[in-house]
Amino acid sequence: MFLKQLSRMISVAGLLITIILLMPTNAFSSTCCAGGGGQSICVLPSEQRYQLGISSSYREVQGEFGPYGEYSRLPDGKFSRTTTTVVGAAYRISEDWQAGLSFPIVSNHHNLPGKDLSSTGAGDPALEARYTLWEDLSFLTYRPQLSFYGGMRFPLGKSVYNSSDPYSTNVIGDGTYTAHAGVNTSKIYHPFKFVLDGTFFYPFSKTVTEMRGQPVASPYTLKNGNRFQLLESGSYLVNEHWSGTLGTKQFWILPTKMNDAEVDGSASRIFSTTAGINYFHNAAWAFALSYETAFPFYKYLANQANAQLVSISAVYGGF
Amino acid sequence: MSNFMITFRTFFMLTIMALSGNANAEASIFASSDTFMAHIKAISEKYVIVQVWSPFCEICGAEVAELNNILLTANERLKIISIVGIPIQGRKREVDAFLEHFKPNFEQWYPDKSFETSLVQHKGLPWTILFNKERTVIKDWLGKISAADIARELKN
Repeated sequence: MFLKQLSRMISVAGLLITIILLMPTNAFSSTCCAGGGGQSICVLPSEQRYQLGISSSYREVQGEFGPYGEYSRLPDGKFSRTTTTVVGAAYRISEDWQAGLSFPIVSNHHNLPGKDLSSTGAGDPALEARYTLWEDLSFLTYRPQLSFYGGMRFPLGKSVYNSSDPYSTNVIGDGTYTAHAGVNTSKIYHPFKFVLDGTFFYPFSKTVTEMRGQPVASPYTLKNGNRFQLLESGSYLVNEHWSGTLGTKQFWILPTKMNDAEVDGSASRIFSTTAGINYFHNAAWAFALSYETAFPFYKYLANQANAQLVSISAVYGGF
Repeated sequence: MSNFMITFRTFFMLTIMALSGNANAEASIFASSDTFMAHIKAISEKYVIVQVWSPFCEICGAEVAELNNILLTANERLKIISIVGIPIQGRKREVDAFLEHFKPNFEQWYPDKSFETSLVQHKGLPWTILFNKERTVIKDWLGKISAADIARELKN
């Protein structure tokens, strides 16, 4: 009797639950990964025609890990905070294909001895196309959802090359075009959803002719290191409105090359944990709050900031 | 209760149902599609059960077996019921996979985009609707129903 009532209760909200579970919850929580490159914050579940999203994240740096993992805390009184607001949209081109766009606005706030510096500017927008090969069907127990995506991030934001700010407060991007390609797979075993996502980033070479807005004496070719990112997450559907997500991320950056020679100590690595909650108001509106930290993976960090990040996202989808 | 008794009771109640019917506000969604209404009006059976389903809906598949059973038992002696499935929210390949897996014994009617959108915005799946001879809605259910649910409604 209880099982029958439970089944009925779940079924009444069937469509909403369907949409909730098809929503890529990992996308919410990874909207502003530390150096994760361009990925659309909006990903359409099946049959959704378009989506508009906004994600705002606050990142506070507590210290820096050196090239060999040595850690140095920021001195007392010094801080580095970044607020990133990403506006995104996705549109269904066909049953199989969708396109996404994200456009960040980045605000940096640094505190140095005797100086309080802040700057806000447009970041690097990203375009992405996604192809869905398989949808997750509950009656096919071992077949997951499988989709492939690829895109490009455009270096329109200020970088260290064209910024004239000596403290780099207005530096937002790395100044290079970066292509990315990835695969996303997920499977729902009610009430759990498991997600695995892998992305490869390829920054294009750049001939550096100026630094901080000034010509360099000897122009050189710079190739930022290729990057790999893995995301694993599990979500638990509490009811037809709420779900919780716990995930981990591994991000590797290979060494930078200058005139085809590797730059020593330029490789970096960051592992992190993400916890988030998602609220699905109805078939159209969804909200998410997530927290990302390097805990408990501090010993794996190299050449990266030790930062905590809090993100809040809202997505509106239309059919 | 034995399968025979359930079958008999369902048949009996469906026959009783032939004498009654009432309107339902849900009819407006279906009335918005002239082609769908024309389709079910062209069906000769006295009653039409419509199942709105999605290949992503876990319990929609379980309901197919019940609907197959209803179709079999109700039409054992008299052809009084027809069932029409309306798939929403899925590409052709997912819909085909669902049909191949659950093997409904009833026809599928594919909605156009605008009708599908209005169905998607309804609040649950599976959504099962019972139409009378005049093709007005007698009753609708959200969630999986059984042959007994139909029978109970017909008895009322």
